[in-house]
Amino acid sequence: MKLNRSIFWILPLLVLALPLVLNQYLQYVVNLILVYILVAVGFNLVVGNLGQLAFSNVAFFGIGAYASGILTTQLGMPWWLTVIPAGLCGALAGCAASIPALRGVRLFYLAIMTLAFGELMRWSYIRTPDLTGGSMGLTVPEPEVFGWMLTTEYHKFYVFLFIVVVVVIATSRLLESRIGRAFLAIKNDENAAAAMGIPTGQYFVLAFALSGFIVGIGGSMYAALVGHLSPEDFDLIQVILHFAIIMVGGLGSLIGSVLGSILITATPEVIRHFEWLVGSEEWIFGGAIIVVILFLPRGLSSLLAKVNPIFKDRYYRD
Amino acid sequence: MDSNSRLHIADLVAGYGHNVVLRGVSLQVNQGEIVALLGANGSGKSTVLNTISGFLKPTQGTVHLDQQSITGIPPHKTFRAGVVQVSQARDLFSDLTVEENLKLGSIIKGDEALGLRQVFDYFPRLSDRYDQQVSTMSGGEQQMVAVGRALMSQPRMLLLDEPSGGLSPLFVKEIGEITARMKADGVTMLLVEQNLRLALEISDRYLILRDGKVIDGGSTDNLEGSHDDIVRTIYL
Repeated sequence: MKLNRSIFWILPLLVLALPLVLNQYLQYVVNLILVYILVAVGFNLVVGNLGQLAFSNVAFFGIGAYASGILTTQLGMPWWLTVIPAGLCGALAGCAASIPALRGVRLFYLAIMTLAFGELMRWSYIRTPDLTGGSMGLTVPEPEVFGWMLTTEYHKFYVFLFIVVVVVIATSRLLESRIGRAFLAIKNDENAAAAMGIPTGQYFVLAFALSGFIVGIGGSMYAALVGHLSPEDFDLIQVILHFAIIMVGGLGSLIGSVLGSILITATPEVIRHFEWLVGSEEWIFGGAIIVVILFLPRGLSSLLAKVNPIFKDRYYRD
Repeated sequence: MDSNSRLHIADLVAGYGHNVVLRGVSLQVNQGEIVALLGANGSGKSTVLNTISGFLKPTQGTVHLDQQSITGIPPHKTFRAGVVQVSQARDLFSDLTVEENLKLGSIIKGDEALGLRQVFDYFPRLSDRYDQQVSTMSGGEQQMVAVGRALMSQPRMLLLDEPSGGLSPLFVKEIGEITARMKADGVTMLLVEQNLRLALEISDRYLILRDGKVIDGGSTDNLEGSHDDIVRTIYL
């Protein structure tokens, strides 16, 4: 197949036309996919690129969402002004989440500690009702960008798409830079990376902070999309969902993050459109994950890379 | 410590937990020199290298590189100071290609293009295997990648831990020739080697380590064909 890398610019342009063919509900699903693309890109930085089994992602997601929600409801800030602060709150949480890893905690121990961090945050949302609305949740006002109210899913789509494209391109550049190479070296062998002059501790903090920043922005978009935040939105099911996205898409792959988000978010919604399949969504959903992981252990992105090498993630500039 | 000294170690004491391995090691490597550190298994040779490169903190003693103290600093800072170690395990990034491994050698310091030219000059075989995944290469080729990666940062002090370990005689000969070329180009090296013949052939001086102390040493120039005395000092 004759393709070149300009396809990465053409595809988002084609996607711009989606609102012309989708109803409000399907547009909502597409917007949710965009949210999960950022969640997966951020999660993949730590799990796929740095190679650490850390599940603090759901905490970053919740912190970003609540930061945006609290800033809009309590301080009356327009949504667009809360996006970067939400990312920064996620980055701060990322720095905190990197502490166990800095102290040498790895593998399952790191996994369980970071899972606990996510649960601790969920408990915090419940226990701070003045800020977060507690168990009742927090209703987030209609998002606004430069005075323009995003009243429909179509409006939100264009703003979300812009944010996602910017973040994905920036992450791609970062992974192709020396920072990305350092992540790759640490993932392969921490000691060897240190012997090559790479300050592994600093890169751990950097990866977690970047991950927190990106997922925090995703959280902010989620708050704008759903309009109501509840602590249950950030429970262990979310961890499984995020993990399924990057496993199915491809660990450490940007394209995989996009593919995984599309498949995992859209599949249950597509199934619901076929009456004879209604009721078996979970079966099909679970089965699809098992099949992909069994037959494509490196995820859907590896399949795409086989079809055409331009879809292979490049971490080295030629 | 004289002005010609590249690496100077004085009274180094280090070990693992309560197990003291080095009990006051002192040695000096001058600029452009190759010094072979000889000794039986467990004498502390690799521990000396690991302590110099910062993987192990000494409890006593000093390490100086070009008159600057590098005692006890972490490995990434030792690397930046100019000390690069090629460990016995080679520590290669096995999932990555030759190109990726080599480029990682200059990720922090060094000129990537210049480094690659120099490495391919030493190891022409690697330029043919640029895209090959390192885990699929032979032991000798992996050793070439490991030494090549170390050279990418233009080190001031190269620490080689058993470069001939586990290699076929043909590769041992090749590694010996390349090491001699590197010496001619002015690379300063501290070499730990079990292959006595190779070590004495390529080095300017030798030091014998036993029970964590330097017990003997001298120039390799004056050695006759037989190394029986050295073998006796090492093992008996």
